[in-house]
This record gives sequence, structure tokens and C-alpha cells, in this order.
Amino acid sequence: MSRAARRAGMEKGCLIVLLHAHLPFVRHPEHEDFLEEYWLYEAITETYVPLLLLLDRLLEDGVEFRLALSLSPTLASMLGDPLLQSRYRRRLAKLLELAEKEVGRTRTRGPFHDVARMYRRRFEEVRAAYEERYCGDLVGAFRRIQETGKLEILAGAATHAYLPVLSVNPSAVRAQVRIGIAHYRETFGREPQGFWLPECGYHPGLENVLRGAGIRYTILETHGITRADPRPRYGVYEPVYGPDGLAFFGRDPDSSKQVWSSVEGYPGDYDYREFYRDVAFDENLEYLAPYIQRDGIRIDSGIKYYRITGRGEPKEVYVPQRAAEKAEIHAADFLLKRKEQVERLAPLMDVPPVITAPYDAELLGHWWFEGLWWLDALIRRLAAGGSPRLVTPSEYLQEHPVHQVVEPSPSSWGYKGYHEVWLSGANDWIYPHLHHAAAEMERLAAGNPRARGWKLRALRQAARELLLAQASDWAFMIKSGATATYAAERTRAHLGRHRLLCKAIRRGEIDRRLLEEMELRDNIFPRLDHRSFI
Amino acid sequence: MVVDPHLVHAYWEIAAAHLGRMRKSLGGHCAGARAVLRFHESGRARGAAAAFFDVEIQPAARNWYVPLWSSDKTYWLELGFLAPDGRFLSAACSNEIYVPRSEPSSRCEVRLWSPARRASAQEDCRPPQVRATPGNERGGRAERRAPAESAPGPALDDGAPAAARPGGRREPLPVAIGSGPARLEGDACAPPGLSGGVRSAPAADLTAECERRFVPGVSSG
Repeated sequence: MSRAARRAGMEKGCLIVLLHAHLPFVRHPEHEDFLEEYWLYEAITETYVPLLLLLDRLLEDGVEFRLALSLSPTLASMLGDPLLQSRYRRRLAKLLELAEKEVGRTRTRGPFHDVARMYRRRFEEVRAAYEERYCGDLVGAFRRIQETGKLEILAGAATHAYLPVLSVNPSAVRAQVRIGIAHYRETFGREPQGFWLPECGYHPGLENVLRGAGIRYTILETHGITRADPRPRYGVYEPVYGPDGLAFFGRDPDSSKQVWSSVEGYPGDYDYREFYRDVAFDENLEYLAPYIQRDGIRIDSGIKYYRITGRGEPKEVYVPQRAAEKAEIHAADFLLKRKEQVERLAPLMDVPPVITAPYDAELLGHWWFEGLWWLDALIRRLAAGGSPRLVTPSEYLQEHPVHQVVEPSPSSWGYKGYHEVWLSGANDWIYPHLHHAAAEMERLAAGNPRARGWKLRALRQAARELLLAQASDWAFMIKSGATATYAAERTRAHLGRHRLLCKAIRRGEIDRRLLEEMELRDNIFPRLDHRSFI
Repeated sequence: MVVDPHLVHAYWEIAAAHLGRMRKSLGGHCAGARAVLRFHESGRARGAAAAFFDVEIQPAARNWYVPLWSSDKTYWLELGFLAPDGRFLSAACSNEIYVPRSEPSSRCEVRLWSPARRASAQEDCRPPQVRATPGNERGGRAERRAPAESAPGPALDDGAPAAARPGGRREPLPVAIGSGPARLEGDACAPPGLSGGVRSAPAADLTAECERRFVPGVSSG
């Protein structure tokens, strides 16, 4: 639809699809084979490379699309890390070997054999893309797609800290924002327009920090907008400005539920692949030994033979063709519901309604195997024309700059909509330590703005350790109980190193060997500016 | 720290020596003194009586969750000892917290703004016109003011974080352009332009509708 046509009022509404890609910084050079590093390898194979291939195919096919993507600084750093890249290559080679063996093992098992061949084909495709097409530089591939104008990448907090619980120290919040944005500039060679708030966590005062850093917009959970003051005139269907001029888009509850809900959401369809039945847990250890962790711990291979089938056991074999058809049906259904939504909303509003639909990127491909097929089908259907039109948040604000001014409400997209996931009896012990460390970091940074040499290196490393301790992932894992021990150890380890460095800086007694060891281990943000904490 | 609109969390660390000094100053009342968290409500009108309430705690616990019965308030806390004679000895005070509201605001003022306040006013700062559809012709909204060159936009001026300002939360500052309050009559929170019978489309409270459809926690968090 041309701009003139849009202005003439033919456009009913817009749709923003936003994928939030994030993993915590997990990199253990001190171990040859580390369990939690596999989170990254799985996501590369199942989400990031397939997503890049999807976007490249859309570009090659001349499809007119828009997508917003948040790529967290921790994830981008890991994707560009040579050690993790080499370890990923090793893992992928093993997966290809296992897939080959599976093709042989299932030769007489009809439909299982077809599924095994599908995985072999997928792994080969991922290997070719990772090695030859992208040369291991996935972040560079996303950057190049952004340069086409069809993809808009948002900046994010340095280590995905949950900012409301850090707000006791405003300097800690500022540092997370500033360092995240500095990383974005280095990585993508431009100023970010949008900023993804980790877990959509918002608290009063954050808007001022974001605007001060040049950010134009962010995304909030539904009630961050609906409980704003004064009351928004159009719910979440129009962005609002905060008192400092930051635009806030509100998450649409309907499109969220259709994809996220474990009960009524698409991913639970019985024809889709069952995530929790992996060959690495079904076959004997002797057969699997070369493909699981060296300590003998079974880890997902990504080779999963069954479809969801129903609520219980037994499970039936997965039929890719049937699942692909279902993804098409669900894309059509999603689009139909958005069409109905904007048709209903448009006459009630004096600005085209915008539906903001953010999802975790890893949901698509990794958790919901067919999720990227669904996205591809959705984008292609949307490109066929009509309404709603896919836009990026910047594009919408450019075309429709006038909106209501409100004060957004504190909120998150976590359980119960506020801060309980990150602040509860299970994980509240971390905050006195985090707040104390942040105050100490601020004092040291303010007292040493022109530090040089080893002192500067120590200050930078102290900042890295603090940032890593602040990651929201640890509190989340401690609360949920999944990998809680690892999360607690990470929190304690980073805080311990931070304390050690602060003490050394104060005393002027820096252990150079120890510092070098820390720099090698926690090597995120090599050009970090410690004055970001002032 | 705020957990949700009805729960806050406080933690503290008080040096033993400081506690000792406090006991000493309580003198004979020390035995009957109770440790409390005193919640002071911020942002009350000048001259209004100070508003606070006390929640008894165990200092040795070093942290406490306090359920609240009302939301949309700003507090700061003191941890101290309340003597039987009513004297309060403060040991420590907190940062300021805002406890969010748990339902949509009843304040329905609509003020519009555009970031392009210094650009071509006619093109960039004009509120979009409502499209006329068959049976849906509408009159204008409240009169739009011409944007003044020097009109302040949303505050970007002093660089101070909002949380650091007295009162913490701010009233929205004057905006560069706008149609003024659009709620003139009828349902105070009906969408602008739908009150007063200007449009034939049925009024709909889209904020209330979003609230009804919203299910918190539909995410990985």
C-alpha cells in the first residue's frame, strides 16, 4: 500500500512482530565441555540460523516484510566469541554424525526413518549456512539484513538485568542501559531507536534514563499501558508517550495468548513436534556416549521423533508434512484474527490501530519446532497486501507521530505481571549484595574517572563482574528451580570477583595474574567504559 | 522494593554498635520498645497531616515482606523502635518506592504530543484526522492549539532521573501540542470523540477491553 493510499485512509491498521532473542552469558573456558553452554548451541541450530535463512529467503523472493528483533548484548557477544564458535562447530559435527547414525538405525522403521532423514537434512543445511553463508558471523548477518530496512534491531540492557529491582541504585540502571547501547553501536554501527526492557520490566524513572540515552521507544506488557495515568484513550492499540517523550508500545493480549499460551496456544497442537521426547533420553547410554556431555549427562540432541499426540502417553511418530500444513493453517488463523481486530478497532480510533506482538525468539524453532514455518507463512500472507500491514515500531512512529502523553505503570511480562519472579523468598538474598556492589562500583568509578593501566583494567573487570552478577536470568532460575544451583553459583562467583577487585583497587594492590585470569574468563564488553557507572 | 501492587519487600543491615546506642537512648523504655517499619506516604499536599503507619517486625530477620491494602501510592520507610511512651527512634530510612495501581486510572485527560515539535507544525504536529467512513462521519475534536515554537515538550531538560526527584513520580509536563482535555461529557473515560454524540460508532472503552483480555504472565517469565 502506498503512503498516499495510507493517508487517504485505506489502511485499517498495523502489526508489529517482535522477536526477543536472549541467552545469559555462559562461557566457561576453564572447562572443556560445559553443560550450560549447550543452551547456545541448541538455539543456534534450532532458532538463530533458521531465522536468518528465513529472512534471507524472504529477501531473495522479494517479499515486502518488516520485523523487529531484540538481540541481547550477552547473546550477541556469545555469538561472536571465537571459543564458543569453535565449540559450536564441534557440537554441530557431532549432531551430524548422530543424525547419520539415526538414519541407519531407523532404516527399517518407515516413518521414523523419514524423520531421521529430515534431521540430517536440517543439520546439513545449518552447517552449510553457518560455515559458508555466514562464516560463523551470525550477528553480522543480522546487521546486513537490518541495513535493508526490513529488519529493525532493538538495543537492550547490558546483561539483561531486571531493571526494577536494580533501581535502588539509579547508577546501576544507567550503566546497564548505557553499556547495552554502546555495545549496540559497536555491533550494528548505528544508533538504536528502540530498547527492549528485559522481561518488559518497567519502573518510574526508567523513561528518563532511556530518553537521556537517545532511545525513542520501548515495549511494555499490556497493563504497563492500560494502568497508565491518565487512562490511555485507546488501550494498547496506540503507542503513548511518557512525560519525557519516550514512546511506549503495549503488548496485545490476544496475539500473545494465541502463540504463548500452553493451553490455547498454537504450539500445543497435537500434530506439532513433542519437545520433551528427545532421542538423547530414549536410547541407551552406550550408543549415545559420543553425543552427550562428557560427564555422562544426557543433553538434548534436537532429534525428536514424536508429535504431541495428546495429553499423555503413548506418543505417535511425528509427520513433518502434517505439521507444516498445520503451521500454514495457524498462520492463516492468526492473520484472520488480526484482520478482524483491526477492522473492529479502526472505526473507533482516529489513528490506525497497531497490534504489538512480541515473542521470545527461542520459542520459534527451539521450543515450538514449527514456529519459524508459522512465521514464514504469516509474513508471506501479510505481504500479499491488505490490512494489517507489517511495520517496525520506528516506522509506525514516523508515519503517526502524534499520540497521548501518559505516565506508564510499573509492570513486567512475568508471572502475575509485576516483579515476583525476580523478587521472592527464593531469590531475595541476592539484592543486598547486588545493591551494595553497585554502590561500591559507583564510588570507585567516580573516584577514578581517569584511571589508566592496570587500575583501569581492574575497574573495567570489576564492572564486568557486577554486570554479569546483575543478569535477570540467575534470579529467574533460582526462583523456578531449574539449574538453580548453577545460577546461585554464578551470582556468588561474580559478586566475589567484584568484591576482590574493588578491594584491590582501593588498596592499590592489583594481582595482575588473577586479573588476567578473570579477563580471559569473563571477557564480555572488551571496550567497556567504567565511567558508565557514574 | 516493590513486589506487586499489594506487596513490598524491605531489607536492612544495622550495625550492632548502632543498635546499642539506640537501646541506650531508649533507656528504661528499651524493654517495651517494638521494632517497626514506618511507612510514610509521599506526595501529600502541603499542609496536610503527615500520614504513616507502622508494621511490627523482627529486626534479626533482616528483611520483611509487607502486604499492603491499597495501591497507587508512594512511600518511604523508616526502620526504628517505638517506645511504650510513643517515642519513635529511627535507625535507618529507605529509598522511595511507588506501589503501582492495580487497575486502570480514573483520570481521563487526553493530551497529545509529537516529537516533531520544531518541524513543520502543520504537517508533523497535527493530530491525525479521523477518517470518515460511511455512517461514521464525525465532527472535530476539541480545538487544536497551534504549536508554539517555544512550547516545552515532554521534559528532557534537567537530566535528573525521575526517581531522584522530590516526590519521585511527576505529573506529565505541558505538551507541545494537543487538543486539550477531550473528555467533555458522558462517560468520563470513553474514547475521545465518542462522547457527546459526535460519532455514530458505539463507544468502546478500549483500555477496559484490554484489561479484560489481559492474562498476566503469558511469557517465558
